[in-house]
Amino acid sequence: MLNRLLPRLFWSAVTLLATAVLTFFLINAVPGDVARVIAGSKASPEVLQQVREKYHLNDPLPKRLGRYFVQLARGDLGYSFVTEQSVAQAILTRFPTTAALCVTALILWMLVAVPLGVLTAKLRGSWFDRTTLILATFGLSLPAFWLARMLQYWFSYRLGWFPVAGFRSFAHLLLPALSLAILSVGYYARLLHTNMVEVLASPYIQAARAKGLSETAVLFRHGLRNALIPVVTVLGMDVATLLGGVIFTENVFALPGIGTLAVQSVFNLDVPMIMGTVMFSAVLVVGANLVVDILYRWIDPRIKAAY
Amino acid sequence: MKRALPFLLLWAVLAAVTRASEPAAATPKRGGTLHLANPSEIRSLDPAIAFDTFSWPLVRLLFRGLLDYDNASGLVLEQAKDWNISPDGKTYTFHLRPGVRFANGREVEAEDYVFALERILSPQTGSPGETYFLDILGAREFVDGKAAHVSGLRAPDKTTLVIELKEPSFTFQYVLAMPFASAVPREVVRQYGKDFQSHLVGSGPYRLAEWRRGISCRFERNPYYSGTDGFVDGVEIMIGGDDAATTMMLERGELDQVLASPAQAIRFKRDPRLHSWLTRVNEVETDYLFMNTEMKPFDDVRVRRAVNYAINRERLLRLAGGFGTVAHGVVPPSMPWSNPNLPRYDFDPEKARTLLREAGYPGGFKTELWYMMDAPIYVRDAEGLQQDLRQVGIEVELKPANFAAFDAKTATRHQVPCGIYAWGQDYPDPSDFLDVLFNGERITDTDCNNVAFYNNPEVNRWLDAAVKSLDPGERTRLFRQAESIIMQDAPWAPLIHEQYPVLYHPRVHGTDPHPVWLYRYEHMWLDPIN
Repeated sequence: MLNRLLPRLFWSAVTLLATAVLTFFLINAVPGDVARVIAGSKASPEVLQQVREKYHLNDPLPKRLGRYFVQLARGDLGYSFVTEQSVAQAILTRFPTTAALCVTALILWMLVAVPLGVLTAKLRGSWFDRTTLILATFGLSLPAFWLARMLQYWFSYRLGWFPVAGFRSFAHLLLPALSLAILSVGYYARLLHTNMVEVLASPYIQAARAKGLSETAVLFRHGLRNALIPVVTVLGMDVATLLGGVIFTENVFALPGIGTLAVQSVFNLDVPMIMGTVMFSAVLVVGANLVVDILYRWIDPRIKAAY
Repeated sequence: MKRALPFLLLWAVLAAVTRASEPAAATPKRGGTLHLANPSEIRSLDPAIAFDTFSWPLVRLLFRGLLDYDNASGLVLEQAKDWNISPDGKTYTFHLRPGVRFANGREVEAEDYVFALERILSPQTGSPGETYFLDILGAREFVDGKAAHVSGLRAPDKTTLVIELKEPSFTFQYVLAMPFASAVPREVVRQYGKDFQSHLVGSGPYRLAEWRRGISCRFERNPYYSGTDGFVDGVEIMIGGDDAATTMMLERGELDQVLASPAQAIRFKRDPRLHSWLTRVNEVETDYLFMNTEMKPFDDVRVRRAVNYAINRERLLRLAGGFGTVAHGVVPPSMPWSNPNLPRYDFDPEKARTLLREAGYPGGFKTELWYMMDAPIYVRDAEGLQQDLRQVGIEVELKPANFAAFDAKTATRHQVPCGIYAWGQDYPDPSDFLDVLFNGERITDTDCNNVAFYNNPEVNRWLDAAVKSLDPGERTRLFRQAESIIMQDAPWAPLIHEQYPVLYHPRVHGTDPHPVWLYRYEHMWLDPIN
């Protein structure tokens, strides 16, 4: 197990390192004087010089990158240029919001996608199946920011069913979560549908039916369990997509999560904060892939045997 | 017409009845929470650090100093009982008002002001206000680390503060009214050091209840405050939210104030139901096209004048949604100082072409126009200017840049031929515009505020004399003289003086904009809910 896991860990670390280097050079390729951003447009030359010295902005890039890595190795993400707040603390304060949003969205879409996937597989070719396919394709193609804004306009502003934006209570999470869920539900319903169709055609399902099991038991206990395996994989790899959607959704609904933090720090050219949010997201994505890899062997013993 | 009469009468009676019930609502009421929004993070609420039009009104909820402004731009005593300036104009003596307390219960002492001012000057603080206080005797030595204390700051007893200046300065009184010079409790700052910004304690009407950085900020009453400000029990600020979201929130009653974009403001302007929600706040600023007087072809005054004549400012203002006024000079007219005798450049393309011919550019020329792309108004200004200038043969290549790039580039010598920029008031004195932006003696090779790199020894002389003078009448005369020559030399084409379109929910009262602070949340009050 360990000798299979070690190369995975090694390549994960390489991915993270490459992300850090690339992001660092990308941010610094943006033209502009960070000292001006920090000190404001009315700062005197003396104040600007102090700022440059304080943040080592006069040093050559490789030296600054080196300093950043030394800092990272100590587990220190640094401090925001703009607010002087600890980057790690900013991310940790905001992550629960993003996590709550994602989990709520995940629950919402799985609650719809699972029954939909099973039913359309069972009723394959029916009008219900076809309508679902059309709707799923439609939902899949919606741009995240447009959908979020439309839901906000109709359900919050016009109908007043939900708060418009901000984050004061759980109610503020529902519409953003719904918006994320709509984007994903179609994909997962279709994925599950395809797997179910395949599974339902396999001999062991016939065997189960022959044993006289109820249709519900056949569908859910024998069919769904096997059909869910690829879904878990995709879910793990989908963390990146989800984080992408979160950026738009959080910004439309003014939710104080990682997505809004990332956008704010880009606008402020807040280098440590941009690095922090990118690295945090990268760790999440790489981590999720790793977890799926491990989970996969655990869920389906055949995969372990195949190695 | 006759048939309409009974309805008109009924309407008049109803209107009278409604109006009769209004005076009761016009007495300010205490209570409620004011909900505000800010699209981006509040940089700091530490009075030594905060320096922008959004932070200042919030800093003033927490911190107060010796002086403040009345409803106009006149200076009044705030947390001082009396003050006097010595006949030579160099020594300021303040006696503190007794019974003024910080939010931690301790009485404010003169020593706290000495501490606060030294803190602004200390390089460790990194205060953007440092340069304003360099007029204090011994400040330079302190900044350079040659003295442990500023010799011109003394607290002979607990309630007396003496400030001694190197040279008399007319504007120093305004500097003392800036939030930088607020009282801070020295023991708290010493305890937390840099982290004071997370443990803010001041002597203002409110105290910080909670500040979740980048998320929200909440103020509650300072129980030890003894002044008269503060009607609402609390102020809550949501950080984030774009224009579309915040205006929807306002309409649904989730917010009380929104600083709107022109696009949203126009929607309110046109909707009869929402029209009264819109107010205009003079930013006391000037948007201008600067022309680098050290670079060709703008080293020729005729070219600069031609550009001034070529610009249709009325149209630029319309492009800005009509939120502002056309600018003819440097100093905004909303400042309590104006210059009626400025040379004017009214839109006249023919005159512009003639001037260009005289300058040796009969077919016009090509140049670059730099502007900040993050602000929609500059983008529209730039496109408008491009069209105007094309009419007289000047081909402009637009050079959009982010704030950081723009700011660094324009502040460096021989880099940017022309561009759009803006300057806003720090205190209500013309020196804040004229001396800071046009005194050629202040030109530096990098980080220069005089982005036109304009240097006219005659103007410098007038400005130096005006800044040194303590006589308001003489100052006015000298500054007007300087501004007139500047406008003749035309290193700038002033464009417009912007106004913020600000939306208020009808339940908010006391929203009159202040000429210096813009928003005084401590004066706003709310209709009681039901």
